[in-house]
Amino acid sequence: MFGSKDLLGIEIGGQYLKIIHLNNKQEILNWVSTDIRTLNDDGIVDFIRNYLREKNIKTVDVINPVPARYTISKNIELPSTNPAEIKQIIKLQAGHHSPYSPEEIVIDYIPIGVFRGGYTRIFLIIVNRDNVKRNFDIIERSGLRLKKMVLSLETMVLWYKDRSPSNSLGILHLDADNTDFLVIKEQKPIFLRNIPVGVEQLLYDRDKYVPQLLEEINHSLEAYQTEQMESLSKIVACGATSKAAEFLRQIPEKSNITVDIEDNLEGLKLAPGAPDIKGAASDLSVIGLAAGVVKYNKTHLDLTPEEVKLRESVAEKSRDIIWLGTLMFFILILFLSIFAQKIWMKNRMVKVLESESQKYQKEAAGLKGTKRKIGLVKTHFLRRNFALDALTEIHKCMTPEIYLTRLLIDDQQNSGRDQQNTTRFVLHGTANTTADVHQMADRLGKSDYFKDVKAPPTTPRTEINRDTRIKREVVDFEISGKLELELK
Amino acid sequence: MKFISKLSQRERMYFYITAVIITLFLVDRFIFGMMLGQINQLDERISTLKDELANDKKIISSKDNINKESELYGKYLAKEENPDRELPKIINTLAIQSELINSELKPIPSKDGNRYLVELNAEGKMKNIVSFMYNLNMGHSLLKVEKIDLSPKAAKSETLKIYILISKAVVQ
Repeated sequence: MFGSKDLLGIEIGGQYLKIIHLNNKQEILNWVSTDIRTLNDDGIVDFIRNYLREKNIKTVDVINPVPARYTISKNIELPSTNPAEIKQIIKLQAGHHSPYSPEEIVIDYIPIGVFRGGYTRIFLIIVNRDNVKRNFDIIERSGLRLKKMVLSLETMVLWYKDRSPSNSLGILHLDADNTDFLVIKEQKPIFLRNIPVGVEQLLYDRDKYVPQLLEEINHSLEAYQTEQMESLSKIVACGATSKAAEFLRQIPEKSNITVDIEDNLEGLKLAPGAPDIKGAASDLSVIGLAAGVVKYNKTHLDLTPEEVKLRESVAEKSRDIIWLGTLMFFILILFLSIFAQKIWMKNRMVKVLESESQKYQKEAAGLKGTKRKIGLVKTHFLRRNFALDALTEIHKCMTPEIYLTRLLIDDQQNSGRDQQNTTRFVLHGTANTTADVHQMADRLGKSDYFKDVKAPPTTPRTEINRDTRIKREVVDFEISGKLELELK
Repeated sequence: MKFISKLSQRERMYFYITAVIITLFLVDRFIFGMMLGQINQLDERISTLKDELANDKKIISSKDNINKESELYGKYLAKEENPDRELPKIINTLAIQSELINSELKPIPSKDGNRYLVELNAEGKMKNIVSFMYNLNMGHSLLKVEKIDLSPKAAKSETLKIYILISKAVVQ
């Protein structure tokens, strides 16, 4: 999730300790081996610690492939096709297939296929729990954290699986102190035999050990043929083959079988700047350990102790939680940054606008004041002649038959009272006839200065002329209305 | 942690969902809410400043017209000293000029501070009243007849009883 770490493969064999250091591109950074026949476990721990210190290795994922020689394997048939049932059966039968008690072993299997209705053929694998515990202790005491413990035989199958898509393929894996004879078919192991003769013995006493190894290989081929009812036509020889080429050429002569000899580092890449390990690894197999490290995450079998699995599971969950938390934190920071940037930009804009505004504010304020005053004067001028003009208009609307006894023009627009009531006019007077009153009211109503002109019913009365003493009928009237506020 | 480990799978799921919702609510309320509030305040301030700036620029662009009008109405804009005391004197002078008799002046308080009011009670003929009003309007002060109430002094008399409410606008 956070990017791959380097991988460190540690193989603790009977006579040799091998360490391989791979980068995250699975290129070999370094290789080291040492003879541990004279070392106890503390000595092995010291060697590993010194190596880590010398190479300044701090954080790596450690893979521990358990060599095939530490496994008991059997190709058996079980009367079930249900994986859970198969697991139960092999647990029950564990004691029959190994010299150890069920508590002393780790037992697992690789399914080969279903044969004969209801039967499953499996490749049973048994490993002594002491070996697993010892390897785990050595690795943890060296200050490393074990990531996975795998079986070399399974990773070898995974390494060579493309060589035998359907046919059986023999793999002769030569190491310093032993040789594995493995047969794979359809990408699964079907036969394994460990021969306790290795390249070291061949080099030490050729006359004694070459015939012995050839004989063991022949025995293995016969055993395979007996068990599987088929013969092999091809073997791939791998591992420490460089010093055993002469021996390997004798195999076809003895057993009528083709042998492909592979270089010790075939299929492996050295990282740029890595030391040349070809010479250092000539007596020992590199491929057994390298395949274990490269293919560790594809294995079916897992010998890793439960406590490590639990620790890894907790670590994985913790990593997930930390990752999720970190992701949420970054999203939060991202949003906060966006908001903070917005606020910063807007603050900046406010400052720019304030500074821009200050340039004009004083001048604009002065001009606004002047404009307001001019507006007040203009408004005053619009209305100041109104009373005089209204008086003139009333005079125009009057007929000679009418005289006024009271004239009121109230043009107080800003008195604070209701304008509709205040801007009004009232005329009291006397006319000869009601018709004269209505005529005047009509004229006033049509004027631009008045509106809503009302002429309530007139009051008739008899008037006596003081000079002539002649009586005549007249009407008293009252005309009222509102003043037009908006003059055309 | 002990409490969480005692919960069932379903309870644990509800617990985590609730915790996430509460966390999101708190983050929204106390962090994003505050920031959004600040952004809104800044937006309002920016909008106000932009409007003010546009108005200021607009009024400055019409500076020449305002100055021309200011020159035109300058005499009315000049600040007068003690306009409340001067107003009765001006009106009295105008009343005398217009031959209004028995004139009585009474300053009355105005409800707004933009004008001064004076009541004039007098007697005179119609032509004197018209003359008075005309002179009032033609003066350099911003005077205006707010209310006029005329009635004959006696039946059929040409002499009228006059009540005029006069205002003087104060441009501040």
